Amino acid sequence: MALVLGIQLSAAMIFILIWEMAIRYEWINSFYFGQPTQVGLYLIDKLQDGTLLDATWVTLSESLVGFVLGTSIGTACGLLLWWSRTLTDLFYPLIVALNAVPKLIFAPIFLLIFGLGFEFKVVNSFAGVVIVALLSAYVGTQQADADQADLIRSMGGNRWRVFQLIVVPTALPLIIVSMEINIGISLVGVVVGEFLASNEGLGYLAIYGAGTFDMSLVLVSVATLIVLAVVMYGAIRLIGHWLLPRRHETLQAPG
Amino acid sequence: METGVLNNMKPLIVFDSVGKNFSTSANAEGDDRFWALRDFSFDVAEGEVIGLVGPSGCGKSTTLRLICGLTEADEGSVLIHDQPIKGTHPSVGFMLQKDLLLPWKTIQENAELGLLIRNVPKEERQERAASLLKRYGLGDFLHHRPHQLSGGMRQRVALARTMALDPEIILLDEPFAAVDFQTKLVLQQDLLSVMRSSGKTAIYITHDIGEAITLCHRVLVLSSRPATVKSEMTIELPESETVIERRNHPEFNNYFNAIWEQLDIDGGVSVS
Repeated sequence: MALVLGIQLSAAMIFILIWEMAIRYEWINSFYFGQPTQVGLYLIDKLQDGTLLDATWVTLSESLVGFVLGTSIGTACGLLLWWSRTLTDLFYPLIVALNAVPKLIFAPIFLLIFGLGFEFKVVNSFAGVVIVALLSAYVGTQQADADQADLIRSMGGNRWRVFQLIVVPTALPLIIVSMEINIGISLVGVVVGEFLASNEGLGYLAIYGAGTFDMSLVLVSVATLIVLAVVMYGAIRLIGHWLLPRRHETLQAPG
Repeated sequence: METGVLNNMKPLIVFDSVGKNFSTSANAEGDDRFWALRDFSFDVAEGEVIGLVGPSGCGKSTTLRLICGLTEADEGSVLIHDQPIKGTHPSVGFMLQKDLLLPWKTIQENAELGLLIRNVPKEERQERAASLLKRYGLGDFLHHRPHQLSGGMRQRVALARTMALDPEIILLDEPFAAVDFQTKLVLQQDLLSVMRSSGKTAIYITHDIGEAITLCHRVLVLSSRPATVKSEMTIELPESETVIERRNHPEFNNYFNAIWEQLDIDGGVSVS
Protein backbone atom coordinates (compact mmCIF):
# COMPACT_ATOMS: atom_id res chain seq x y z
CA MET A 1 0.00 0.00 0.00
CA ALA A 2 2.70 2.45 1.03
CA LEU A 3 4.84 1.27 -1.87
CA VAL A 4 2.07 2.01 -4.35
CA LEU A 5 1.60 5.49 -2.94
CA GLY A 6 5.33 6.05 -3.01
CA ILE A 7 5.53 5.11 -6.67
CA GLN A 8 2.57 7.34 -7.52
CA LEU A 9 4.02 10.38 -5.75
CA SER A 10 7.48 9.89 -7.20
CA ALA A 11 6.10 9.57 -10.70
CA ALA A 12 4.13 12.79 -10.27
CA MET A 13 7.15 14.68 -9.00
CA ILE A 14 9.39 13.39 -11.77
CA PHE A 15 6.80 14.41 -14.33
CA ILE A 16 6.62 17.95 -12.97
CA LEU A 17 10.40 18.12 -12.78
CA ILE A 18 10.80 17.10 -16.41
CA TRP A 19 8.12 19.56 -17.42
CA GLU A 20 9.85 22.42 -15.58
CA MET A 21 13.18 21.49 -17.15
CA ALA A 22 11.59 21.27 -20.58
CA ILE A 23 10.39 24.82 -20.26
CA ARG A 24 13.64 26.21 -18.85
CA TYR A 25 15.77 24.55 -21.49
CA GLU A 26 13.22 25.55 -24.11
CA TRP A 27 12.54 22.09 -25.36
CA ILE A 28 8.90 23.10 -25.42
CA ASN A 29 7.28 26.48 -25.65
CA SER A 30 5.91 27.95 -22.43
CA PHE A 31 3.24 29.77 -24.40
CA TYR A 32 1.49 26.49 -25.15
CA PHE A 33 2.39 24.44 -22.13
CA GLY A 34 2.77 26.72 -19.16
CA GLN A 35 5.52 26.44 -16.61
CA PRO A 36 5.01 24.57 -13.34
CA THR A 37 6.68 27.18 -11.15
CA GLN A 38 4.72 29.99 -12.77
CA VAL A 39 1.52 28.01 -12.45
CA GLY A 40 2.29 27.38 -8.79
CA LEU A 41 2.74 31.09 -8.06
CA TYR A 42 -0.40 31.90 -10.04
CA LEU A 43 -2.33 29.33 -8.04
CA ILE A 44 -1.31 30.84 -4.74
CA ASP A 45 -2.20 34.28 -6.02
CA LYS A 46 -5.64 33.28 -7.21
CA LEU A 47 -6.34 31.45 -4.00
CA GLN A 48 -5.45 34.50 -1.96
CA ASP A 49 -7.60 36.91 -3.90
CA GLY A 50 -10.57 34.57 -3.73
CA THR A 51 -11.09 34.13 -7.44
CA LEU A 52 -10.52 30.41 -7.32
CA LEU A 53 -12.68 29.76 -4.31
CA ASP A 54 -15.58 31.79 -5.68
CA ALA A 55 -15.39 29.98 -8.98
CA THR A 56 -15.17 26.61 -7.25
CA TRP A 57 -18.19 27.38 -5.15
CA VAL A 58 -20.22 28.32 -8.23
CA THR A 59 -19.33 25.17 -10.11
CA LEU A 60 -19.82 23.01 -7.06
CA SER A 61 -23.26 24.35 -6.21
CA GLU A 62 -24.49 24.10 -9.80
CA SER A 63 -23.37 20.52 -10.19
CA LEU A 64 -24.64 19.45 -6.76
CA VAL A 65 -28.11 20.80 -7.42
CA GLY A 66 -28.18 19.19 -10.86
CA PHE A 67 -26.88 15.93 -9.43
CA VAL A 68 -29.29 15.74 -6.51
CA LEU A 69 -32.33 16.66 -8.60
CA GLY A 70 -31.34 14.35 -11.41
CA THR A 71 -30.54 11.40 -9.17
CA SER A 72 -33.65 11.66 -7.04
CA ILE A 73 -36.11 12.20 -9.89
CA GLY A 74 -34.38 9.74 -12.21
CA THR A 75 -34.12 6.97 -9.62
CA ALA A 76 -37.71 7.45 -8.51
CA CYS A 77 -38.98 7.24 -12.08
CA GLY A 78 -36.83 4.22 -12.84
CA LEU A 79 -38.18 2.39 -9.81
CA LEU A 80 -41.69 3.48 -10.70
CA LEU A 81 -41.42 1.77 -14.06
CA TRP A 82 -41.27 -1.58 -12.29
CA TRP A 83 -44.83 -1.10 -11.12
CA SER A 84 -46.34 -0.71 -14.53
CA ARG A 85 -45.55 -2.81 -17.57
CA THR A 86 -47.76 -0.48 -19.61
CA LEU A 87 -45.91 2.64 -18.59
CA THR A 88 -42.63 0.93 -19.36
CA ASP A 89 -43.74 -0.16 -22.82
CA LEU A 90 -45.02 3.34 -23.52
CA PHE A 91 -41.96 5.24 -22.41
CA TYR A 92 -39.09 2.89 -23.08
CA PRO A 93 -38.33 3.94 -26.68
CA LEU A 94 -38.24 7.56 -25.58
CA ILE A 95 -35.90 6.79 -22.73
CA VAL A 96 -33.55 4.80 -24.94
CA ALA A 97 -33.48 7.59 -27.52
CA LEU A 98 -32.81 10.23 -24.89
CA ASN A 99 -30.05 8.11 -23.45
CA ALA A 100 -28.31 7.69 -26.77
CA VAL A 101 -28.28 11.33 -27.71
CA PRO A 102 -25.72 13.57 -26.02
CA LYS A 103 -27.83 15.68 -23.69
CA LEU A 104 -25.68 18.69 -24.40
CA ILE A 105 -27.34 18.98 -27.78
CA PHE A 106 -30.22 20.49 -25.86
CA ALA A 107 -28.05 23.22 -24.36
CA PRO A 108 -29.05 25.88 -26.92
CA ILE A 109 -32.71 25.09 -26.22
CA PHE A 110 -32.17 25.36 -22.49
CA LEU A 111 -30.30 28.59 -23.05
CA LEU A 112 -33.28 30.09 -24.80
CA ILE A 113 -35.70 28.88 -22.14
CA PHE A 114 -33.67 29.63 -19.02
CA GLY A 115 -31.44 32.41 -20.16
CA LEU A 116 -27.98 32.99 -18.76
CA GLY A 117 -27.43 32.08 -15.17
CA PHE A 118 -27.51 29.42 -12.49
CA GLU A 119 -30.65 27.62 -13.72
CA PHE A 120 -29.26 27.08 -17.21
CA LYS A 121 -26.25 25.23 -15.92
CA VAL A 122 -28.27 23.22 -13.44
CA VAL A 123 -30.63 22.11 -16.20
CA ASN A 124 -27.72 21.08 -18.40
CA SER A 125 -26.38 18.98 -15.58
CA PHE A 126 -29.81 17.62 -14.66
CA ALA A 127 -30.51 16.50 -18.20
CA GLY A 128 -27.44 14.30 -18.31
CA VAL A 129 -27.86 12.87 -14.82
CA VAL A 130 -31.57 12.08 -14.88
CA ILE A 131 -31.49 9.70 -17.81
CA VAL A 132 -28.58 7.66 -16.49
CA ALA A 133 -30.19 7.50 -13.05
CA LEU A 134 -33.52 6.41 -14.51
CA LEU A 135 -32.06 3.71 -16.70
CA SER A 136 -29.80 2.38 -13.96
CA ALA A 137 -32.65 2.16 -11.49
CA TYR A 138 -34.88 0.46 -14.03
CA VAL A 139 -32.25 -2.05 -15.12
CA GLY A 140 -31.55 -2.68 -11.45
CA THR A 141 -35.17 -3.62 -10.84
CA GLN A 142 -35.07 -6.02 -13.76
CA GLN A 143 -32.33 -7.99 -12.06
CA ALA A 144 -34.64 -8.96 -9.21
CA ASP A 145 -34.84 -12.70 -8.73
CA ALA A 146 -38.29 -14.06 -9.64
CA ASP A 147 -37.92 -16.90 -7.15
CA GLN A 148 -37.26 -14.45 -4.35
CA ALA A 149 -40.38 -12.57 -5.37
CA ASP A 150 -42.32 -15.85 -5.29
CA LEU A 151 -40.96 -16.53 -1.83
CA ILE A 152 -42.35 -13.23 -0.58
CA ARG A 153 -45.70 -13.93 -2.20
CA SER A 154 -45.81 -17.45 -0.80
CA MET A 155 -45.46 -15.99 2.68
CA GLY A 156 -48.39 -13.68 2.10
CA GLY A 157 -46.60 -10.58 0.84
CA ASN A 158 -48.25 -8.19 -1.61
CA ARG A 159 -46.61 -6.26 -4.48
CA TRP A 160 -45.49 -3.50 -2.20
CA ARG A 161 -43.66 -6.02 0.00
CA VAL A 162 -41.97 -7.54 -3.03
CA PHE A 163 -40.93 -4.03 -4.10
CA GLN A 164 -39.66 -3.10 -0.65
CA LEU A 165 -37.92 -6.35 0.26
CA ILE A 166 -36.62 -7.62 -3.07
CA VAL A 167 -36.76 -5.10 -5.91
CA VAL A 168 -35.24 -2.07 -4.22
CA PRO A 169 -32.37 -3.90 -2.50
CA THR A 170 -31.57 -5.64 -5.77
CA ALA A 171 -31.50 -2.34 -7.65
CA LEU A 172 -29.48 -0.54 -5.01
CA PRO A 173 -25.94 -1.56 -6.08
CA LEU A 174 -26.62 -0.42 -9.62
CA ILE A 175 -28.14 2.81 -8.39
CA ILE A 176 -25.02 3.51 -6.37
CA VAL A 177 -22.73 2.80 -9.31
CA SER A 178 -24.82 5.14 -11.44
CA MET A 179 -24.42 7.84 -8.81
CA GLU A 180 -20.66 7.50 -9.05
CA ILE A 181 -20.86 7.87 -12.82
CA ASN A 182 -23.29 10.75 -12.56
CA ILE A 183 -20.87 12.92 -10.61
CA GLY A 184 -18.80 13.13 -13.75
CA ILE A 185 -21.81 13.64 -15.97
CA SER A 186 -23.15 16.37 -13.76
CA LEU A 187 -19.84 18.23 -13.92
CA VAL A 188 -19.70 17.90 -17.70
CA GLY A 189 -23.11 19.51 -18.01
CA VAL A 190 -22.13 22.34 -15.70
CA VAL A 191 -18.73 23.03 -17.24
CA VAL A 192 -20.03 23.02 -20.81
CA GLY A 193 -22.79 25.34 -19.70
CA GLU A 194 -20.12 27.63 -18.27
CA PHE A 195 -18.19 27.46 -21.53
CA LEU A 196 -21.23 28.40 -23.55
CA ALA A 197 -22.84 31.12 -21.59
CA SER A 198 -21.52 32.17 -18.24
CA ASN A 199 -19.26 34.62 -16.47
CA GLU A 200 -18.72 32.53 -13.38
CA GLY A 201 -17.31 29.21 -12.38
CA LEU A 202 -14.27 27.06 -13.08
CA GLY A 203 -15.37 26.24 -16.60
CA TYR A 204 -15.72 29.92 -17.31
CA LEU A 205 -12.24 30.61 -15.95
CA ALA A 206 -10.77 27.89 -18.13
CA ILE A 207 -12.37 29.14 -21.30
CA TYR A 208 -11.54 32.73 -20.43
CA GLY A 209 -7.93 31.79 -19.87
CA ALA A 210 -7.85 29.96 -23.18
CA GLY A 211 -9.36 32.96 -24.91
CA THR A 212 -6.81 35.35 -23.43
CA PHE A 213 -3.88 32.96 -23.96
CA ASP A 214 -3.39 32.80 -20.23
CA MET A 215 -2.18 29.21 -19.95
CA SER A 216 -1.60 29.47 -16.24
CA LEU A 217 -5.23 30.36 -15.62
CA VAL A 218 -6.34 27.43 -17.75
CA LEU A 219 -4.13 25.01 -15.91
CA VAL A 220 -5.11 26.31 -12.51
CA SER A 221 -8.83 26.05 -13.26
CA VAL A 222 -8.46 22.60 -14.76
CA ALA A 223 -6.42 21.38 -11.81
CA THR A 224 -8.98 22.78 -9.37
CA LEU A 225 -11.76 21.14 -11.32
CA ILE A 226 -9.98 17.81 -11.11
CA VAL A 227 -9.60 18.17 -7.37
CA LEU A 228 -13.28 19.12 -7.06
CA ALA A 229 -14.36 16.12 -9.10
CA VAL A 230 -12.27 13.73 -7.04
CA VAL A 231 -13.58 15.12 -3.77
CA MET A 232 -17.18 14.87 -4.95
CA TYR A 233 -16.61 11.34 -6.16
CA GLY A 234 -15.06 10.44 -2.83
CA ALA A 235 -18.10 11.81 -1.02
CA ILE A 236 -20.42 9.73 -3.18
CA ARG A 237 -18.37 6.61 -2.53
CA LEU A 238 -18.70 7.21 1.20
CA ILE A 239 -22.45 7.59 0.83
CA GLY A 240 -22.48 4.42 -1.24
CA HIS A 241 -20.63 2.51 1.46
CA TRP A 242 -23.04 3.81 4.05
CA LEU A 243 -26.07 2.77 2.01
CA LEU A 244 -24.69 -0.61 1.12
CA PRO A 245 -21.94 -2.04 3.26
CA ARG A 246 -20.32 -4.19 0.61
CA ARG A 247 -19.58 -7.51 2.08
CA HIS A 248 -19.58 -9.43 -1.11
CA GLU A 249 -16.45 -10.97 -2.41
CA THR A 250 -14.92 -9.42 -5.50
CA LEU A 251 -13.91 -11.41 -8.53
CA GLN A 252 -10.85 -9.37 -9.37
CA ALA A 253 -7.75 -11.32 -10.35
CA PRO A 254 -5.11 -10.95 -7.64
CA GLY A 255 -1.58 -9.58 -8.31
CA MET B 1 -48.56 -40.19 16.44
CA GLU B 2 -49.78 -42.79 13.98
CA THR B 3 -48.43 -43.31 10.51
CA GLY B 4 -50.43 -43.85 7.38
CA VAL B 5 -53.70 -42.51 6.20
CA LEU B 6 -56.28 -42.12 8.91
CA ASN B 7 -59.23 -43.40 6.98
CA ASN B 8 -61.93 -41.92 9.13
CA MET B 9 -60.63 -38.38 9.09
CA LYS B 10 -61.24 -35.95 6.28
CA PRO B 11 -58.08 -35.33 4.30
CA LEU B 12 -56.35 -32.00 4.77
CA ILE B 13 -55.40 -31.55 1.14
CA VAL B 14 -57.33 -32.88 -1.82
CA PHE B 15 -56.36 -32.86 -5.46
CA ASP B 16 -59.37 -33.76 -7.55
CA SER B 17 -58.77 -34.50 -11.25
CA VAL B 18 -56.49 -31.53 -11.52
CA GLY B 19 -55.20 -30.40 -14.86
CA LYS B 20 -52.69 -27.66 -15.48
CA ASN B 21 -51.35 -26.52 -18.78
CA PHE B 22 -48.90 -23.91 -19.84
CA SER B 23 -50.00 -22.66 -23.18
CA THR B 24 -47.60 -20.77 -25.35
CA SER B 25 -49.05 -18.80 -28.22
CA ALA B 26 -47.78 -21.36 -30.72
CA ASN B 27 -49.85 -24.19 -29.31
CA ALA B 28 -53.20 -22.86 -28.22
CA GLU B 29 -55.62 -25.60 -29.08
CA GLY B 30 -57.00 -28.29 -26.75
CA ASP B 31 -54.77 -31.28 -26.41
CA ASP B 32 -51.89 -29.60 -28.17
CA ARG B 33 -51.37 -27.43 -25.14
CA PHE B 34 -48.45 -28.22 -22.88
CA TRP B 35 -50.13 -30.17 -20.07
CA ALA B 36 -48.03 -30.47 -16.93
CA LEU B 37 -50.69 -32.32 -14.99
CA ARG B 38 -53.76 -34.13 -16.22
CA ASP B 39 -56.38 -35.97 -14.25
CA PHE B 40 -54.22 -35.73 -11.19
CA SER B 41 -55.83 -36.85 -7.94
CA PHE B 42 -54.58 -37.61 -4.47
CA ASP B 43 -55.29 -36.90 -0.80
CA VAL B 44 -53.13 -35.95 2.10
CA ALA B 45 -54.28 -36.53 5.66
CA GLU B 46 -53.31 -34.28 8.50
CA GLY B 47 -49.91 -35.14 9.91
CA GLU B 48 -48.85 -37.16 6.87
CA VAL B 49 -45.62 -36.67 5.03
CA ILE B 50 -46.14 -37.55 1.38
CA GLY B 51 -43.31 -38.12 -1.04
CA LEU B 52 -43.65 -37.33 -4.73
CA VAL B 53 -41.18 -39.06 -7.00
CA GLY B 54 -41.25 -39.06 -10.73
CA PRO B 55 -39.18 -38.41 -13.82
CA SER B 56 -37.74 -34.93 -14.37
CA GLY B 57 -40.11 -32.32 -15.64
CA CYS B 58 -43.22 -34.35 -14.93
CA GLY B 59 -45.05 -31.61 -13.09
CA LYS B 60 -44.08 -32.17 -9.48
CA SER B 61 -43.12 -28.57 -8.84
CA THR B 62 -46.36 -27.46 -10.43
CA THR B 63 -48.20 -29.51 -7.85
CA LEU B 64 -46.57 -27.58 -5.04
CA ARG B 65 -47.17 -24.25 -6.68
CA LEU B 66 -50.85 -25.13 -6.94
CA ILE B 67 -51.11 -25.84 -3.23
CA CYS B 68 -49.16 -22.74 -2.42
CA GLY B 69 -51.49 -20.57 -4.43
CA LEU B 70 -48.78 -19.25 -6.74
CA THR B 71 -50.65 -20.64 -9.72
CA GLU B 72 -54.13 -21.95 -10.48
CA ALA B 73 -55.47 -25.21 -11.84
CA ASP B 74 -57.03 -25.19 -15.28
CA GLU B 75 -59.11 -28.28 -14.59
CA GLY B 76 -60.34 -29.91 -11.42
CA SER B 77 -59.87 -28.45 -7.97
CA VAL B 78 -57.37 -28.25 -5.16
CA LEU B 79 -58.81 -28.06 -1.67
CA ILE B 80 -57.32 -27.35 1.72
CA HIS B 81 -59.67 -28.08 4.63
CA ASP B 82 -62.34 -28.50 1.97
CA GLN B 83 -61.89 -24.95 0.77
CA PRO B 84 -60.64 -24.16 -2.71
CA ILE B 85 -57.36 -22.29 -2.78
CA LYS B 86 -57.60 -18.55 -3.22
CA GLY B 87 -54.24 -16.92 -3.57
CA THR B 88 -51.48 -17.71 -1.12
CA HIS B 89 -52.64 -19.57 1.92
CA PRO B 90 -51.33 -18.25 5.23
CA SER B 91 -50.53 -21.61 6.69
CA VAL B 92 -48.57 -23.11 3.81
CA GLY B 93 -44.79 -22.98 3.99
CA PHE B 94 -42.58 -23.50 0.95
CA MET B 95 -39.00 -24.65 0.79
CA LEU B 96 -37.09 -24.89 -2.49
CA GLN B 97 -33.78 -26.23 -3.66
CA LYS B 98 -32.55 -22.65 -3.77
CA ASP B 99 -32.38 -21.42 -0.23
CA LEU B 100 -33.44 -17.96 -1.44
CA LEU B 101 -31.71 -16.27 1.43
CA LEU B 102 -31.45 -12.55 0.77
CA PRO B 103 -27.75 -11.76 0.59
CA TRP B 104 -28.17 -8.27 1.98
CA LYS B 105 -29.82 -9.45 5.19
CA THR B 106 -28.28 -11.22 8.17
CA ILE B 107 -29.11 -14.83 9.00
CA GLN B 108 -31.50 -13.77 11.72
CA GLU B 109 -33.21 -11.23 9.48
CA ASN B 110 -33.61 -13.89 6.82
CA ALA B 111 -35.24 -16.28 9.25
CA GLU B 112 -37.54 -13.47 10.33
CA LEU B 113 -38.62 -12.70 6.80
CA GLY B 114 -42.01 -14.40 6.92
CA LEU B 115 -42.74 -12.90 10.32
CA LEU B 116 -41.80 -9.46 8.99
CA ILE B 117 -44.24 -9.84 6.14
CA ARG B 118 -46.96 -10.82 8.58
CA ASN B 119 -46.23 -7.67 10.61
CA VAL B 120 -45.21 -9.53 13.73
CA PRO B 121 -43.72 -7.04 16.23
CA LYS B 122 -39.95 -6.76 16.22
CA GLU B 123 -39.12 -8.34 19.55
CA GLU B 124 -41.33 -11.33 19.03
CA ARG B 125 -39.96 -11.75 15.54
CA GLN B 126 -36.38 -11.72 16.69
CA GLU B 127 -37.07 -14.10 19.52
CA ARG B 128 -38.90 -16.67 17.44
CA ALA B 129 -36.31 -16.60 14.68
CA ALA B 130 -33.40 -16.77 17.10
CA SER B 131 -34.81 -19.71 19.03
CA LEU B 132 -35.43 -21.70 15.84
CA LEU B 133 -31.97 -20.95 14.55
CA LYS B 134 -30.44 -22.04 17.83
CA ARG B 135 -32.40 -25.24 17.74
CA TYR B 136 -30.97 -25.98 14.30
CA GLY B 137 -27.44 -25.37 15.49
CA LEU B 138 -26.99 -21.91 14.02
CA GLY B 139 -27.00 -19.93 17.24
CA ASP B 140 -23.48 -18.61 16.62
CA PHE B 141 -24.30 -17.29 13.19
CA LEU B 142 -27.24 -15.01 13.82
CA HIS B 143 -25.48 -11.91 12.59
CA HIS B 144 -23.53 -13.46 9.78
CA ARG B 145 -24.45 -13.06 6.14
CA PRO B 146 -25.56 -15.90 3.87
CA HIS B 147 -22.39 -15.93 1.83
CA GLN B 148 -20.44 -16.78 4.97
CA LEU B 149 -22.35 -20.02 5.50
CA SER B 150 -22.08 -23.36 3.74
CA GLY B 151 -24.88 -24.72 1.56
CA GLY B 152 -26.13 -27.05 4.25
CA MET B 153 -26.23 -24.29 6.83
CA ARG B 154 -28.10 -22.04 4.45
CA GLN B 155 -30.74 -24.67 3.90
CA ARG B 156 -31.14 -24.90 7.66
CA VAL B 157 -31.79 -21.15 7.73
CA ALA B 158 -34.36 -21.65 4.99
CA LEU B 159 -35.98 -24.34 7.12
CA ALA B 160 -36.03 -21.98 10.09
CA ARG B 161 -37.61 -19.31 7.94
CA THR B 162 -40.28 -21.77 6.83
CA MET B 163 -40.99 -23.07 10.32
CA ALA B 164 -41.02 -19.60 11.89
CA LEU B 165 -44.47 -19.02 10.45
CA ASP B 166 -45.69 -22.21 12.09
CA PRO B 167 -47.35 -23.40 8.89
CA GLU B 168 -49.85 -26.23 8.89
CA ILE B 169 -48.58 -27.60 5.62
CA ILE B 170 -44.99 -27.63 4.47
CA LEU B 171 -44.09 -28.02 0.82
CA LEU B 172 -40.55 -29.07 0.04
CA ASP B 173 -39.22 -29.09 -3.50
CA GLU B 174 -36.00 -31.11 -3.50
CA PRO B 175 -34.67 -28.98 -0.65
CA PHE B 176 -31.44 -30.93 -0.25
CA ALA B 177 -30.67 -31.72 -3.87
CA ALA B 178 -27.91 -29.13 -4.06
CA VAL B 179 -26.15 -30.26 -0.90
CA ASP B 180 -23.41 -32.90 -0.70
CA PHE B 181 -24.52 -36.37 0.25
CA GLN B 182 -23.07 -36.44 3.76
CA THR B 183 -24.55 -33.10 4.71
CA LYS B 184 -27.77 -34.27 3.11
CA LEU B 185 -28.03 -37.18 5.53
CA VAL B 186 -27.56 -34.80 8.44
CA LEU B 187 -30.18 -32.42 7.10
CA GLN B 188 -32.58 -35.29 6.48
CA GLN B 189 -32.18 -36.27 10.11
CA ASP B 190 -32.89 -32.69 11.17
CA LEU B 191 -35.98 -32.62 9.03
CA LEU B 192 -37.17 -36.00 10.25
CA SER B 193 -36.90 -34.87 13.87
CA VAL B 194 -38.67 -31.60 13.13
CA MET B 195 -41.49 -33.30 11.28
CA ARG B 196 -41.94 -35.97 13.92
CA SER B 197 -41.97 -33.57 16.81
CA SER B 198 -44.23 -31.01 15.17
CA GLY B 199 -46.65 -33.44 13.54
CA LYS B 200 -47.03 -31.17 10.55
CA THR B 201 -48.33 -32.23 7.18
CA ALA B 202 -45.82 -32.14 4.36
CA ILE B 203 -45.40 -32.87 0.69
CA TYR B 204 -41.85 -33.70 -0.28
CA ILE B 205 -40.59 -33.78 -3.82
CA THR B 206 -37.40 -35.63 -4.50
CA HIS B 207 -35.51 -37.61 -7.07
CA ASP B 208 -33.75 -39.50 -4.32
CA ILE B 209 -35.85 -42.59 -3.76
CA GLY B 210 -33.98 -43.44 -0.58
CA GLU B 211 -34.78 -39.99 0.78
CA ALA B 212 -38.46 -40.47 0.03
CA ILE B 213 -38.53 -43.77 1.84
CA THR B 214 -36.73 -42.50 4.94
CA LEU B 215 -38.74 -39.32 5.33
CA CYS B 216 -42.25 -40.11 4.15
CA HIS B 217 -45.28 -42.01 5.36
CA ARG B 218 -46.49 -42.57 1.83
CA VAL B 219 -44.74 -42.27 -1.52
CA LEU B 220 -46.60 -41.44 -4.71
CA VAL B 221 -44.95 -42.33 -7.97
CA LEU B 222 -45.87 -40.00 -10.80
CA SER B 223 -45.92 -40.84 -14.46
CA SER B 224 -44.04 -38.75 -16.98
CA ARG B 225 -45.67 -35.61 -18.30
CA PRO B 226 -48.62 -34.97 -18.22
CA ALA B 227 -48.38 -36.37 -14.74
CA THR B 228 -50.92 -38.55 -13.03
CA VAL B 229 -50.43 -40.65 -9.95
CA LYS B 230 -49.11 -43.93 -11.22
CA SER B 231 -48.96 -45.78 -7.97
CA GLU B 232 -48.68 -45.22 -4.29
CA MET B 233 -46.87 -47.01 -1.53
CA THR B 234 -47.33 -46.80 2.19
CA ILE B 235 -44.02 -46.96 4.00
CA GLU B 236 -44.24 -49.00 7.12
CA LEU B 237 -40.96 -48.56 8.91
CA PRO B 238 -40.85 -48.08 12.65
CA GLU B 239 -41.64 -44.53 13.62
CA SER B 240 -38.88 -43.32 15.79
CA GLU B 241 -35.78 -44.56 14.04
CA THR B 242 -33.10 -42.29 12.70
CA VAL B 243 -32.43 -41.82 9.01
CA ILE B 244 -29.50 -44.24 9.07
CA GLU B 245 -31.48 -46.85 10.95
CA ARG B 246 -34.32 -46.58 8.49
CA ARG B 247 -31.90 -47.05 5.61
CA ASN B 248 -30.57 -50.19 7.22
CA HIS B 249 -33.99 -51.69 7.82
CA PRO B 250 -34.55 -54.95 5.90
CA GLU B 251 -37.67 -53.62 4.19
CA PHE B 252 -35.83 -50.55 2.83
CA ASN B 253 -34.52 -52.28 -0.27
CA ASN B 254 -37.87 -53.79 -1.08
CA TYR B 255 -39.48 -50.39 -1.06
CA PHE B 256 -36.60 -49.02 -3.10
CA ASN B 257 -36.90 -51.66 -5.78
CA ALA B 258 -40.66 -51.40 -5.91
CA ILE B 259 -40.52 -47.67 -6.46
CA TRP B 260 -37.66 -47.87 -8.95
CA GLU B 261 -39.63 -50.33 -11.01
CA GLN B 262 -42.59 -48.02 -11.16
CA LEU B 263 -40.70 -45.03 -12.47
CA ASP B 264 -40.76 -44.27 -16.20
CA ILE B 265 -37.17 -43.24 -16.58
CA ASP B 266 -36.33 -42.25 -20.16
CA GLY B 267 -33.15 -43.39 -21.81
CA GLY B 268 -30.49 -45.42 -20.11
CA VAL B 269 -28.67 -48.40 -21.51
CA SER B 270 -30.78 -51.53 -21.74
CA VAL B 271 -29.10 -54.59 -20.38
CA SER B 272 -30.24 -57.64 -22.22
